[in-house]
Amino acid sequence: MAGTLEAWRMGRPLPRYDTLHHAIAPADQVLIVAFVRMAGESRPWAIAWGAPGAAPSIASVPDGRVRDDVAGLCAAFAGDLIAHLSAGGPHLDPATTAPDPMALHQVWLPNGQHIAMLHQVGYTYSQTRFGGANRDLLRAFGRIAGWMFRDTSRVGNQHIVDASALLTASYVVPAQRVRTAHLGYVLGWLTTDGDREARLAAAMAAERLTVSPTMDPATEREPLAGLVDRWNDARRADGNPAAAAAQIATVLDGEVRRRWRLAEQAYLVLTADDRPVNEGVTALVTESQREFWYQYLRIEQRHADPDQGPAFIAHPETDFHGSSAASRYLIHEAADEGYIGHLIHHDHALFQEALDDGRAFQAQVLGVDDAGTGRSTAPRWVLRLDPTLPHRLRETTRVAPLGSRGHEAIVLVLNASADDLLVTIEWTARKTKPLLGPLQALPMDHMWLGMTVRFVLADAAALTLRRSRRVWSAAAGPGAWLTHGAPTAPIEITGDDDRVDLVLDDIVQIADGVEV
Amino acid sequence: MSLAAIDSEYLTLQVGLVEHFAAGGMLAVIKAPPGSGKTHTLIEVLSELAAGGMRIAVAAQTNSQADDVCHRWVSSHPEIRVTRFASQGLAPAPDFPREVSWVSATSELPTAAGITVATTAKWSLTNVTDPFDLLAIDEAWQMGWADLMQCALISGRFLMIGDPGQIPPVVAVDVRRWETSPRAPHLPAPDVVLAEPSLAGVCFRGSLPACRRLPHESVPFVRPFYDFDFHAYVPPGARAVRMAAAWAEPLALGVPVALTLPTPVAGPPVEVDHLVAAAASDVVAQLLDGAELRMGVQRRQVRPADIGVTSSHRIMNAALSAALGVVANEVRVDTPERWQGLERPVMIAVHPLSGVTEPSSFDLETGRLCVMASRHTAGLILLTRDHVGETLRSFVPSAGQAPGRPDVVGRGHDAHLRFWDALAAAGSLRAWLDTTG
Amino acid sequence: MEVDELREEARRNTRGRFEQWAKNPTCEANILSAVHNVRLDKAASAAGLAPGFGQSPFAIARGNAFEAGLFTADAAALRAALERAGVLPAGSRGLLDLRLRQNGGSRVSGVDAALFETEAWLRAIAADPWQADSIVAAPMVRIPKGVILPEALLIIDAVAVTVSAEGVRLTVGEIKVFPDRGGHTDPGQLASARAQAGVYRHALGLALDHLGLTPRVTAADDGFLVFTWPGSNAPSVRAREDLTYQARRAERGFARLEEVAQSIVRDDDFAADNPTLIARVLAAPTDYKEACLSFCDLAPRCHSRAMAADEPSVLGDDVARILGGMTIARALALMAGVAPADDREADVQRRLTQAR
Repeated sequence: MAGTLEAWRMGRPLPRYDTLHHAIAPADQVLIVAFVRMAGESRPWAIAWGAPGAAPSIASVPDGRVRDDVAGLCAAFAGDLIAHLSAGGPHLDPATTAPDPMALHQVWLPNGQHIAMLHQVGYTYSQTRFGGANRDLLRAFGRIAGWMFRDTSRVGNQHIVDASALLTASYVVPAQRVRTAHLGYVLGWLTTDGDREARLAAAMAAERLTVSPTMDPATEREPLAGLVDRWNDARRADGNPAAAAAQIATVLDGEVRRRWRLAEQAYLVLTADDRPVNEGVTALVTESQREFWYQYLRIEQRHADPDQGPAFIAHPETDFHGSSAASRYLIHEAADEGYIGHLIHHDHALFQEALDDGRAFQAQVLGVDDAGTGRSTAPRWVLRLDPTLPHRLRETTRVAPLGSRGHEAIVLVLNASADDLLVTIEWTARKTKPLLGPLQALPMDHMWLGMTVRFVLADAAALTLRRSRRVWSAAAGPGAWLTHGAPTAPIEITGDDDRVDLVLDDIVQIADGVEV
Repeated sequence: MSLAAIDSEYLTLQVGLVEHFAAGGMLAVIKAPPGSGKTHTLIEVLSELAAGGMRIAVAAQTNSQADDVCHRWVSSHPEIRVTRFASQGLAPAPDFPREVSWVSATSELPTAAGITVATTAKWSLTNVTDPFDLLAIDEAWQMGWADLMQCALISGRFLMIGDPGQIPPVVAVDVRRWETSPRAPHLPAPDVVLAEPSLAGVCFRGSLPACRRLPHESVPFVRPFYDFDFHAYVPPGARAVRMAAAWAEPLALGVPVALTLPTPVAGPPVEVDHLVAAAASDVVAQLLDGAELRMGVQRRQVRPADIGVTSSHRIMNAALSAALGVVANEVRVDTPERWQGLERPVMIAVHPLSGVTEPSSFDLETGRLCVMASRHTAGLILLTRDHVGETLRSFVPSAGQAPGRPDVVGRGHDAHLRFWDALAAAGSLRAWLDTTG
Repeated sequence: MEVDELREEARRNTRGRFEQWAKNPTCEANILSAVHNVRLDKAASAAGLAPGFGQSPFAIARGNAFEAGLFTADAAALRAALERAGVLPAGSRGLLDLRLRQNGGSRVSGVDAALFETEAWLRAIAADPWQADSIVAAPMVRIPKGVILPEALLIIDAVAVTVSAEGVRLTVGEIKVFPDRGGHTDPGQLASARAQAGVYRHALGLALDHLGLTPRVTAADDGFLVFTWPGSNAPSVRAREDLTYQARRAERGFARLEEVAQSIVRDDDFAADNPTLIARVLAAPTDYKEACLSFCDLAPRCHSRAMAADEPSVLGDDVARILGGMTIARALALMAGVAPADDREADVQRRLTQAR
């Protein structure tokens, strides 16, 4: 809240944190994508795609309700999308070959509603029986769109960028949260010169033009509704629908291009930001590349994996099989637990926020001791904390020294009095390695006495990842009858033409070996 | 209902559970109201099954809960062989019962009939070569389905018992993807079982019949937080707090009292409310100035260690501790999350909606208020700004949850409103008059 | 428009007016608009603002086509989906179509006929349950008149009828054309669908009680929602949606709306013409919130006023909730270190300075 008020006082958005918390790939490794759809429909009506700094490719169809036409539109885009993302992925199992973080290829979209289009594409095409010659390409489109959508909900994901969300995560905009979901509004604040009034006026002017894939109803009423009627009339009457089609394409071109340009502008704002990308982002990119392999490339190649499960096509709605649901959930939980831990060591403002919230603390070292027996080492420190400051320490809380990720200690004893909070910790991880920072000394070195050391709460991401793997082996346990799912039936979708499409869930693929 | 009748219901439930598992039953879920003797019931049922030759794993949610279960087992059923299975590096506490074997290696797990107690976390990472005959889970509503899944290797049969009214486990990640999964990994394990129609035929369902902790007259106030009915075990008029102050009249009847402070026109403080903290301090002072605690036939003066204080915000708890002064060393002040499983004769609670004029779904989650309203054995004193009733009446709940999920906001709003209305109907809403001037 | 016409339209638009009120129940302008059925877009136009919540012709057409498709051929598509979801047993039979002709029905000509036929249907299934049709399209029920609110008419999208030894069970259903994306389905649209189903459940319960048919015929506490499968017109049914609290919300909400309306509605309002009522809405005090941006055409006016008054609502609900009645300038002063005047200011100052 203080940041919002400060930004209001200053009359401009302020940087949030000292570093950027997301990778910004070079322009030639970025594909910007924007959609337009007909209101009430789930599939695209027009798509724009291309690299920043160049003219986008734009394709549309005259009527967004005509399934075969829309399939053709999607097929035109799908090849480029798949080629773009796959070119940046690890091409070997990252368990044996570490992925290259620099190879990351990103897809930028204007906002969450455009990302939701990926979900709808997953529903429509990942198992479609239709599409004629394009069927396999459409299915591949559905699969990659489904993966893209699912990965956006994993904290720390790096491949798919919600431009609006990344801007608001990187800047404090002094406005209502609902408004900051509008990319044009945020860019109005960020890219307009002048005082608060000037920026606010620009933002509010931009807000009048929709960014969502659904257009302003006024535009659909006039001119699109009439043009679409004309096109359909001409088609039905064996007339010439080309003129109406061209006029529709012109309107849609303008609409989708404007959305695409906003996402491009967001990319340019972030590349021009003089803050560094947080060093911890490299680890996030590596994690993302692993996810890209395990959850997309591996499955495209139909490789089963003992820790990640068999290669199955994820159902667009949810994971029905107990193992697939729990495995994915725990992997997302591990990503969430580890996220701040990757970044906090390289961002003072983030550390300060944790300090205010009691998720970090600084303390003076009062005692250094070795409680080990024989040849084992168990360095212990006694720390003094300011008891008036917030903290979340309990006995058994695990902590890590700021700037030295990998070192870890556990809280053994807390002694609180009115004037003092004394905490005894025992080093448990990398305890025979020097701590990074000014001293570069081992934890058991008495040079630490009297020093002030900053700590953050350690995360349990590694343990959670272990648990995510175990849910697959647990499927062989005697309790799996309860824990691992129930029989399901394929979902039938009957179209307007009475033809039936089927969607098979993960249970029939995993348990019954049915191939999609 | 008479105590004999309630005791009979307890016995019927225990017998039913024993018969269910002895006959090869695969699954049971038992709901327990607060302070209803669930661990006692668990020990009784499992002891009988173990005596009948079953090899049983017990999952507790924390190491201290696991140790506590072992203590209670030894004192109530010393004839049963009990083993505590713990992580390497964790040593038994000095007072840990010697009768219980302490093992850390999977290879040392007992192979004969008896009870082995460990935490869920420990079981979830253990590969057993010989699965147990039954896995019994204590505080089961604190265990997510993903945690239970890891335990599929431990046993093929499950008994879950817990208090569904308590604060649910924290879910930090975006779980929309799994909200409609038939085995939603983030949901409390018993809720997944109870929501699955196909399990109805194999699952023994039951609930413990009575709350044994709260005064008889306090029990109706916590019923809105539960979807099953239960009795008060404590007889009417048996527990109370008597003191001179007029505001404390309901306490003398075993009924909770809510002391309200006026809400400033510009709005109440949101997190740290020093007036409420000062009121809490005054209440404690008045309690320690000759208030009488009545617990059945026993009567004595209230002592500092009899009193607990709770509010939702850590920062408010710090203000409460500061306001209490030196007595804070003996009066436990903590969040409701940390009060779960604990009790005190007298509890002082800052209403979780005090200062919250526009409640969110988080604010309306009933677990916090339920925990606050169910820790006392004699008296409950709530402190709050007086806007809460109007805030609840003005609030229009929105049910935006995922398809098939329960209407948590609607239910929370309804339970909050019923709790508040019950206080009003009992004459328990009392304006706090600052006695310090 | 004459006031009688307004009141008649208000009867039919009760559900919409109730939900409009629920979006900001503490704004007097919104309450007056809901009570008097004064459309916010008309009020905005009168205030010189451009209304911004129009509907797309494509969306309207799709919604109509979807709903109509559900009930064609003895409601085959809806029936199959309801049977798959367990709302109806396999092999269910019978459709009673009570849709008005103007809404795609073939038989029922007007409101009075719809009310009459709905009542006849309820009496008939109570008398002879085993002859009941399993799906009823668009039955119409009424909520009795309050002091301020007119008698309300509600058309329930669909009702599933199941019969057992215990009696007849009516399960209300709400039909929405938006895509069912599992846990990613738009929460606002879900909330709206459930709120409407809750009003149906409440009203149906009242009707059954009024006719003395309970408990032979009962309204189920759960309901079903009908959405579309993304990328198609196929229905996706969500069964066993708990409507207990949404029905209670409707019951409490109507009483609350009546209660708050009592204090702000003037006696002469009921004889006023529409321009007068619009002027009343425009002159009423407002309570501007972020939620207003999603439904109220007057929100830009309120935003401008809040800006002029330096109110924290322009920075969002989170900031407004913490600052309360304080101006932004005062909050900035506190952040700069001026002495707080009271506890609330002290609390705000602590939060502002801690987080810096």
